[in-house]
Amino acid sequence: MGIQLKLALRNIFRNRRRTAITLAAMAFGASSIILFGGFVNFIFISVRESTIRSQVGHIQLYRKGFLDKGSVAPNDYMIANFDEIRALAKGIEHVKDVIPRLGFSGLVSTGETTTSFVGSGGNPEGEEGLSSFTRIVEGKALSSSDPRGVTLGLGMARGLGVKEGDSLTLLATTKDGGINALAVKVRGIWESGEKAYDDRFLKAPIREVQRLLDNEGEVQSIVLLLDSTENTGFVRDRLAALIRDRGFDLEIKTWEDLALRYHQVRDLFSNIFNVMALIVSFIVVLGIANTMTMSIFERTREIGTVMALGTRRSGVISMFLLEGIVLGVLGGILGAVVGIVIAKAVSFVGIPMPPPPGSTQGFIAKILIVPAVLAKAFRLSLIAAILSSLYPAWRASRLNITEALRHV
Amino acid sequence: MKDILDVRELTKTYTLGKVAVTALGGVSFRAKAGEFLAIAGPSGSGKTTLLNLIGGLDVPSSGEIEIDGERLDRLAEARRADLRARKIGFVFQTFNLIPVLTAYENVEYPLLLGKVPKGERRSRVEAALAQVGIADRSRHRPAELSGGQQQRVAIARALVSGPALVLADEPTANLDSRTALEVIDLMRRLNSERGVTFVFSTHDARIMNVAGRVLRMEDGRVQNVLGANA
Repeated sequence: MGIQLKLALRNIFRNRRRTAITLAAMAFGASSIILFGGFVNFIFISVRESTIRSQVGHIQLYRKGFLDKGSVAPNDYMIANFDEIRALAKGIEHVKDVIPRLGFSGLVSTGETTTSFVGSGGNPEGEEGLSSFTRIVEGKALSSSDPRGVTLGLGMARGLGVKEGDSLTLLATTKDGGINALAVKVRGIWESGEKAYDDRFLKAPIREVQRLLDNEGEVQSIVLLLDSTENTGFVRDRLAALIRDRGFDLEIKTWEDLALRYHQVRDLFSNIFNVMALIVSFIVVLGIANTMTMSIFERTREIGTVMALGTRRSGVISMFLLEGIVLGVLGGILGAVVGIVIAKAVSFVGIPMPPPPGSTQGFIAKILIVPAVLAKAFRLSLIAAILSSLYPAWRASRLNITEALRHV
Repeated sequence: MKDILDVRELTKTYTLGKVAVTALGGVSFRAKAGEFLAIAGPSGSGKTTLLNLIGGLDVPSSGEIEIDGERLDRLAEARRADLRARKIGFVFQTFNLIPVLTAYENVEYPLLLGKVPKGERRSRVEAALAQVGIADRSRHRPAELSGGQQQRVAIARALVSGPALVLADEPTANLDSRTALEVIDLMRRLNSERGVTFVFSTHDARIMNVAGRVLRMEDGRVQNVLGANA
């Protein structure tokens, strides 16, 4: 072991109590970063999965141009060969479900009350996987055995004052511009946790929607659900190759393109996390700088001695920097261990969270152990330790040798 | 014998507030290889200042210092540190061992600065510790050693790299009289048997008695030189 490292280690453990306090401060800093980072990552993944499972799916396919102009003239951008595409997509590894979507809007009426709605027509059975974040609170989910049964968001059901089995009339504009009406029954009422969604949305079997809109066999978009979000890139590449080879007039969007809220949440929490990490690092820097400064004051005569013996000023700087680095490594490791232990313990119990904004259901949060966050906490510990020993080390190296030797 | 040390017209002036204080007012002397030279004088006479300048721990206001043929006063700071490591051994009044290192490691330290290879380092450290009669204490840390033992380790540390010159500032001032005598004896023996050149400051009449020459200082000047080939 080099003399420098030997000196650093022995000097660190010279004043055990002070070192213990310093290491505790660093471990506190590192573990706070790990805990908060792990919590934030849990939120990211929850929001991501809830967005994917409740709305956008992993991948969506559209006719080219639909996303730009489809809102004005949706009927010009329909996909006519859904069955062919479904068969091909099902053949791709990791694809679990291929779900047709047909968005529509119009008025829904009980006869007494009428309100506007946004609806989606889906494959009753396929839609199951996509709705795993909506919870049926009354009645049942869509079924192909009940073609006229629709399901409503809880807010809409309350607004209309309807319950399971009640009759409704849907009014919508057909492909050719006419008005069409469809008599349906409330089959189920669900809740997603998103208030805006629950107040305005209804779901209907796609064939009935196609009849209402007079566009048999056509769909607006195709939603793919995969076995795991991590495989999105793989499936996207396969689909792109398929579309190119077959010459389909389709474009691909992944959940990353569509889940705007996920990105907003992610940006917001990332910023909060960074600010918090900065504050923690700053406190750690102050703590270590204080220890280092005290330690240098106490060791003034030793510093004078090693300089008298022929250690250059740069050697004194590296001596104290090395001490800082060793402290940083020790504090980082300790912090990681403490962070992991607490994260596991807290996740075991679970953190009950209130409903997030725009949502009606609370949830149980966990703290994920994320390698990137561990690395970040460790890196910050090290940087903080180095930063905070820079100035004391420089000061030590600037000591006047003869005065330092006289120091008592 | 050749000159190991040549000091010419050395002055040192400090500024205390707005007052300039002359610590050394033009000191010149030479020391030959193998000398045992004492610098005596009352407190404030400039002994320590002179030793600090010779050791390259401080820079003179004017004058020249030549050690073993090298002009010390012209060197930049880092070079001065290197020269200290190569040519000068230091023995301090307060021993100044590094508390976290063992006796062995303290003596090894200058060799590490000089990048001496491991095998040679070991034999030189062991030889130095044996010379000062403290080989059996090599694994002890300074806190576990008596003052006399610590000063012996410090002397071993000063000798180990084979310096041209060992500077000792009041080496016995912090020791009881019996231990002081032992340390004086040791230094004297190293001087006569190994030819180590010692230049040291002292109040201690007993050291002056065994010194080859005594440079008597007062008010920053050499008053007289007593001894053999003065």
